[in-house]
Amino acid sequence: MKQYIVGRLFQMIPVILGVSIIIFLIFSFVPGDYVDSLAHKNPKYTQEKIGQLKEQYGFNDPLPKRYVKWLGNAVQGDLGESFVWQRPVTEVIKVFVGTSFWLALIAFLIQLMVALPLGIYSAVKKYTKIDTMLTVFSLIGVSIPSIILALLLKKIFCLDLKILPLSGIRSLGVDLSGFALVHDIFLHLLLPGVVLALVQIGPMMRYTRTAMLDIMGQDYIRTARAKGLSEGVVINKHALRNAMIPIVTIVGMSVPDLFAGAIIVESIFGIPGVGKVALDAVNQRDFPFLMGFTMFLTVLTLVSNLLTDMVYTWLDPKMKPKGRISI
Amino acid sequence: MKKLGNYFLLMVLLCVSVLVTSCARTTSTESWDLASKQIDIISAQYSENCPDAAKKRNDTAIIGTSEFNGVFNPLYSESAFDLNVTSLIFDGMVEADFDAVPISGMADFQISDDGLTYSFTLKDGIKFSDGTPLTTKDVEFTFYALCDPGYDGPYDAASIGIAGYGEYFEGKSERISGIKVVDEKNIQFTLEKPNAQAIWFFGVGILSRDYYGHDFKKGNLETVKALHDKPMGCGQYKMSEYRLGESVELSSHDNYWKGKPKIKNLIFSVTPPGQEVERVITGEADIDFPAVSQDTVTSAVDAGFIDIYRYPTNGYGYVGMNLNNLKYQDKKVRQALVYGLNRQAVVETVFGPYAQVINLPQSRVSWAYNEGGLNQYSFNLDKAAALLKEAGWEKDSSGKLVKDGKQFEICFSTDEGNPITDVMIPVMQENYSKLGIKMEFQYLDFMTMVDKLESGDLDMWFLAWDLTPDPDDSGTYKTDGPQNISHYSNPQADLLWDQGVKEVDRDKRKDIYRQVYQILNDDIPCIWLYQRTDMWVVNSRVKNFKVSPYRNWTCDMWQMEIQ
Repeated sequence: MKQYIVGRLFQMIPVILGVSIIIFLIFSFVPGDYVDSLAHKNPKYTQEKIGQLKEQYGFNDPLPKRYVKWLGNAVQGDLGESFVWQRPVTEVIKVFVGTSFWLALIAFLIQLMVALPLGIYSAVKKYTKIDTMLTVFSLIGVSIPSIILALLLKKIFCLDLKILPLSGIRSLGVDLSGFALVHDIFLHLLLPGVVLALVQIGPMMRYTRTAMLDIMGQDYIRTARAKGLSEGVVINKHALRNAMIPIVTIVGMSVPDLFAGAIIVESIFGIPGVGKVALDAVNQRDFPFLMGFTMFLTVLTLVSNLLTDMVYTWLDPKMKPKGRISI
Repeated sequence: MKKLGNYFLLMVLLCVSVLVTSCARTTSTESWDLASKQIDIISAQYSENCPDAAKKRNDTAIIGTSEFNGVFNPLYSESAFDLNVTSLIFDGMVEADFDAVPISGMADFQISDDGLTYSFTLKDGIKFSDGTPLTTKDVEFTFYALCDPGYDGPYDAASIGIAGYGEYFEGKSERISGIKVVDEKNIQFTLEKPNAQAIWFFGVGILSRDYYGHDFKKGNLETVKALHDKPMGCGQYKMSEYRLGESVELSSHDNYWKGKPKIKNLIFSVTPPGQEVERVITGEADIDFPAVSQDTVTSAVDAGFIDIYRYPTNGYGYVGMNLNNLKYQDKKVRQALVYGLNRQAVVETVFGPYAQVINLPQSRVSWAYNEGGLNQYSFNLDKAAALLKEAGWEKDSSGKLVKDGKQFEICFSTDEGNPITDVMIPVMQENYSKLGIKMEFQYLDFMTMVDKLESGDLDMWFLAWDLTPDPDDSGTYKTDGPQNISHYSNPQADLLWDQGVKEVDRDKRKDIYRQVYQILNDDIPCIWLYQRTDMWVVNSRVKNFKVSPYRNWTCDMWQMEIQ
């Protein structure tokens, strides 16, 4: 197993390199750069100044030279300096991803706690009224754009009932500490967390239901029932554990999303998360930040895939890797 | 030039406005007159409606802002949001008064009659917020940093023409001959030629040499740049906490040279787009800056406890043409395109009563604004057709506008989801097709558009320009000006622009710009569309809020108080 993990980690290196080259190329083909974006906001910029700035930022260097320079620094952990934020990219990522992560985690937990039990329940009670109701509910959840849902909830809870704060992640102008602070931040993140979760609950519930239904039609479930096991044991031990494999795949794939930020929800609730920062970076052509952030997501995706694979072997020992590794 | 909106923002605004209007009572909004005065104020009628959330903060005011970039340095701040914070922490030697007239800030100044020498005398008793006194050493350091070869901020020292700047920049000299420290209180700047913009350059916020420049060496501004989020200056407030992208907390600078600020703490915090008024209504913020529309005005008035300050935006929207393209080179064609477009209808649909059609590139509240003798170009298709005919363009039997066998074709570019062009494009399509013009429209990402503008690939486009307090706009309208993306050229106007920037006497300058505007109005270098308005909403518990299009409210923050 150890050998397997080390092998997988080494395999990541060429993948990361390849991704970085592709992303670097894509960014270099995008029209306009950071200096252009500044110059067109400010009538004071002269042509000479624009040229001088481009020279200073190294925009005039040939592409391979720029890439090698970036790679050389990146290997040493230096992702460069964000143009917009005027500070190291790693620091910008750390601050904004942190906020997005807590928000996404709350949403993720709500989502798991609601979607899994309801999905299982609806599979067990298939084709009953409750199953139909849950199906309708999940379809509604999928279809409502989060922007509408967010504004609706805001109107009800923040403007009319006035029980939840309108925006931000903490109350300003008051000194809070300890439990009061945690409570305050929780209140601020509750609505955005619910909105983020509601959009995801529908699909996850459907996946769970399908996976469970599939397993419950299997011969070994019939055998388990035939040998007189209680329905609880059949569902929880035999069916659920096997149904978890497709569910874990989906959950594993959504882990990088926890760090990618939710542009719409963050914007509507005024939460300083990485989603909005990344969008602004595209608009202002802040390439060092975009390169750094995309690479961060790449590594995260690869690692979470590895973790997912390891969870598989725990769920189903038959999947344990033997001998040489293959992807 | 700034981006006027994107699809996403528009969607948010739309949704918010639907929610807001659904619950708002209808209020008649008095017709506001901004033609004769700079600023229009609607005072709160029911101050007692103020929410408890706001009342709880008796020594703190919260200001909503759309974002931060965390560059709190007067030499480097690019965004208006960062500049608001920066201007509270730093003061300069020159300030703008409410009418865009330069007045003395931390220094009294004198300009020699030839307009070449600027002498500054620092006022007594000015201290940085760390307690050290301000001296000309700090002023000298600030301007050396601005002239440094390694400087990459928005100021352009080269265009000011300080004597000896070129030699210093290129490394031929270690000193700038045009910057001369006389003694601790007096400093002199010499220019190579008169420049009316220079006085604003000297108004930049002054950095402390001890704090920012202890290791300063020519060509290396890293020590200055490392302190972007730990600013320290002579201004009204000092920074106490900065949370990246979230909030900035300031506390009063008790030794401030104009007087101790009355509000002890200020917090700038990010407001979600489109919810500026709601944030003030719920009491989460005291001051905010919503986009002006019937909905935002109505909900602010309905809240009862909100003061509204509205004034003309210092900028304008226009339709640009690439005058290098043969078809636009005849000015009759350009005039016809203005007559042939129902600008009034477009502007009214987009902005309601909160914007006006303009016929010259200047804010109606600028001292240089002069409508005298200008053509108003009211919508008139017949006149447009007649002008096109004079220029040799005539409708053929199938209704196409042709000259030498070729149809008049326009390719119009804009960025996707722009609320102005979304309204304008159908109007343009209808108006111009009646003249027999074939219209094509393309949507581009904003930066792609900017890129194509530079390479001259666009035929016609929509954009907006910002204006500066000084009326010199030669960068945009002079032959080969750095921002002259239309490639407009008129030797007579070029001469006047040059005269204007050299002239120190205001009345004479006024007359020069009157002539410039007449030439431009006749030449139509681009199709001017509108000047809109800006608005601040302020919880009426905050007193003494003062603002003008030229003087930011932050300048008089120290006089504001909370009741």
